[in-house]
Amino acid sequence: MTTLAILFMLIAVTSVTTLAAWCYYRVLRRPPDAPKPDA
Amino acid sequence: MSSEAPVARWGSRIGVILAVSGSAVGLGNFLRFPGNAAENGGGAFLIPYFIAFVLLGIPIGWAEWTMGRYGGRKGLHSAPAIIGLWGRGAVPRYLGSIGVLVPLIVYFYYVIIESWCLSYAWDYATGGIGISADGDVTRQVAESGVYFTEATGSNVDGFVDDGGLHRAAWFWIIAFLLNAWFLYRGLSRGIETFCRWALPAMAVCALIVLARVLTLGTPDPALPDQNVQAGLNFMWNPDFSALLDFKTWLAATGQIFFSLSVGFGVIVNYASYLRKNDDVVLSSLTSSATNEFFEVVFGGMITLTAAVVFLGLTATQASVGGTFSTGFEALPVVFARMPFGNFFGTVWFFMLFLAAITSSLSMLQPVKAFFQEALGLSHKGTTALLLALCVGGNLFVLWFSKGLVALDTLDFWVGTFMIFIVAGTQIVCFAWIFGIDRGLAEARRGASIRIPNAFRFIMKYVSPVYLLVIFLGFCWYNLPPYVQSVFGEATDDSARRAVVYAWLLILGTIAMLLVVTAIGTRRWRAAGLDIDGRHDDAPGEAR
Repeated sequence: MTTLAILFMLIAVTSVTTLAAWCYYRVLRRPPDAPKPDA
Repeated sequence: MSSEAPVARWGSRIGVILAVSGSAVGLGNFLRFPGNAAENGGGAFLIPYFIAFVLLGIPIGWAEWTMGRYGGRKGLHSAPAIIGLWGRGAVPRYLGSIGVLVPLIVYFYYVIIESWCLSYAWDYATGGIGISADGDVTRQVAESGVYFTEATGSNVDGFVDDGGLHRAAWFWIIAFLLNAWFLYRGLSRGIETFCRWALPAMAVCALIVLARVLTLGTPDPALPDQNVQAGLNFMWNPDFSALLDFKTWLAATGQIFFSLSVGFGVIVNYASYLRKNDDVVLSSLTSSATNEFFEVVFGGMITLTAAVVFLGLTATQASVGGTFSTGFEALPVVFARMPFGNFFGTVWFFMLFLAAITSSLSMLQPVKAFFQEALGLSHKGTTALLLALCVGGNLFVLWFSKGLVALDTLDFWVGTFMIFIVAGTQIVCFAWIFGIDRGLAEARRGASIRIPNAFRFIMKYVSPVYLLVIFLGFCWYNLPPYVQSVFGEATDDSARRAVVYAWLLILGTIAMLLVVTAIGTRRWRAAGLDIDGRHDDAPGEAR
């Protein structure tokens, strides 16, 4: 496996994982919703 | 009409995010993405891929979520009504009916593919699909191809009627009934509840398979070149010369575009069930990020790595041309050669089934909402009408199965071509007709994060132009070979017949949707709904 392949894989995987983790952290740290009715 | 019934709402913030993520994460994440990347520059493919994510995927996602929530606040939940509201007129409204056509027609064939995944998962769980564990790879690939042909009827039309009901029809019935059940249960108790369970389950299944693939090492010492590193290298080694080829940019942008479910008519509908102060900016970004995580981490590290380890580079390269050849013909050979292959095959295809059903469910809800609010039907009546239409569409695809020509025709023209039209209409309505400043002000209502100022320019100029260039490139590069494949001398009469019938189905559905839109327009006006966006309330203002 070439160095560039490792580099591209690590950057891509780290980027999307970090973005997803940051998003879920921001979503889940907000206060929970009040119960809502369903139709 | 919808206003006569209690308005459906999402049960929680995380619920709607997982439902939109479930819509976006589908077979393309695991099967189409790695093949696309490997064929178009490997790691270098990720450069245009992430550029398209920032310039097209994220902005159009924000626009769709905002449009949907605004429409819902005005009592509108279907793509024609919401796009008409933002576009202020009849033309956007009737163009918006394509936002119903796309999920309906795609459902016609997508649930069939979903039933293949279920059938494969079942067969692996009950002893395998009959590929000999030892022996020549070429023979195993041939055996896998025979199984696929038998399971999908791709060798003959009308295979489902084999004196009784072919087993493929039974798996379709199961998949169809599951979709119908969750649709009938409603937005929160059906779709949301299922997605809250299915997305984490998919992640667990994918992690199990990923852990197995990354620990394969070099399973056959006689073939030292077939190892995990070689597999990852095949997928990720960058070929920078591919960046000079427009087709690489076309493939990368297309992958982002279709993977995120933008232009499908799904997000505007899902977002219309949000409350007026619910966040759309972070929610949209989170669902997009979830999709990217499944695509890059799982799609980018599992499929081709496993294929290279067990099949070798040559056989893997031969399989990356198509989603079906990679997923349903090459990977079964991998499982046949892998220790505990039946277990991992079961987990893999069950995960694909979950990915497919969370997507197919999202195709039904926008159509249901459209019929419900345009025709004034009850929940039960709309569900019955929609399922009856879907039975007809599914049977059409099941019957004309030879060469999967009917399926391909619907996928090419509706599942690909028309998505550009819906997405283009939406971004133009958002940025140019409704107005970029008003649109962004509406997006910021209740937002948990700030939209960077640069996106004002991106959404107004870059995204529409980028979309237009990619659309023209798609027509230039993909239409001629497609037309040649259908009408060329090598095509037999049955294939041409399937294409003609598929087009009749598309045109008939378009005509039906235009009539229903016209009926809906009269109903919405009679009910005093602001379908032309004439009541110029300040963006973000409560009504």
